[in-house]
Amino acid sequence: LEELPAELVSLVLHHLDNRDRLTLRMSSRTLESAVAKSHFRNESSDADKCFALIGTCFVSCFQHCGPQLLMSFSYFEELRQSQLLQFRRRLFKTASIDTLRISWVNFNKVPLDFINQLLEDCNFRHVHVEISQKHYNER
Amino acid sequence: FLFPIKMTSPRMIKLTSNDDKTFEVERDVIKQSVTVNTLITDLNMDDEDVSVENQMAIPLPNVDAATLEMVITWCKQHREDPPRNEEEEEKKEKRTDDIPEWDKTFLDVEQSVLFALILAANYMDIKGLLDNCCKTVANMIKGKTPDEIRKHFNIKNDFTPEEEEQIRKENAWCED
Repeated sequence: LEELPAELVSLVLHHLDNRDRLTLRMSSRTLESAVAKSHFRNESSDADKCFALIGTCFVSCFQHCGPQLLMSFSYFEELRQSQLLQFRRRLFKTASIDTLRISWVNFNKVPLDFINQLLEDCNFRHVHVEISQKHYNER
Repeated sequence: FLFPIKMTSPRMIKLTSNDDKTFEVERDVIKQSVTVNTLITDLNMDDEDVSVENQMAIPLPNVDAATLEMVITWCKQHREDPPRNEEEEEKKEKRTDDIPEWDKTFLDVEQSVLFALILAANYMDIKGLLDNCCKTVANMIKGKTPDEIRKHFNIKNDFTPEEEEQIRKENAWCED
């Protein structure tokens, strides 16, 4: 894997979610460099440090918008749901998350039970829901 | 009644690997390689008056015979596939559980062979093959810890203990 040129590693990264990309990055210096060269890594190293990537969910700590949990359901696997539930307490305690921001491209794929469980367990003060006009109309 | 039927044999193209092995492959099969297709067009090799014996072989200096043979096998299997629309592919939901069964079996090979196929598919610009190879590698990575990835791909951990600790700290809330 390390012998593949960075641009081809980038094609593999394309098929991974954020958490797996992060894990790959932690495997070796070469892979760290390959991920760094790809467009998947945030350009700002400070902002990059503020990312905790959990599957397709990630917590961002941008100063301008405050801590929030962002969830995208375009690529959301059951495995990731259970992983997120497993360490949600630690996650929310560490990051002091008070905002849940949900976006999706396919309404039918939103795991509503999972969202309910998350809302019951965590004391979000703000919940933002984003849905594209196209899918809203379809719904 | 017997009607004369003109039997036209498929147009053949010669490809030579970097270890000097020459393969004859149907034009319709190898058209999936954008690189080869472009060469055929640019070199006017579609001239039907030139027999395959007199035809120049297209050299593929980045692909060895074993890999080229596999690439040709893949192209034969996928010769009927509709042309890919890259814009549509970009918009599609990213997933790795949609590799066709035939490809799954075909790509169930040693890592060195799979990586050689990735390099060849990239060089020959065969998007479908490249895509399925990359998905196969992605599936090997998914859900693994850094240690498991190192073990699976025989990667040496070359981070210093301090660097590793720093990375772990940065990603602490990501770990179970």
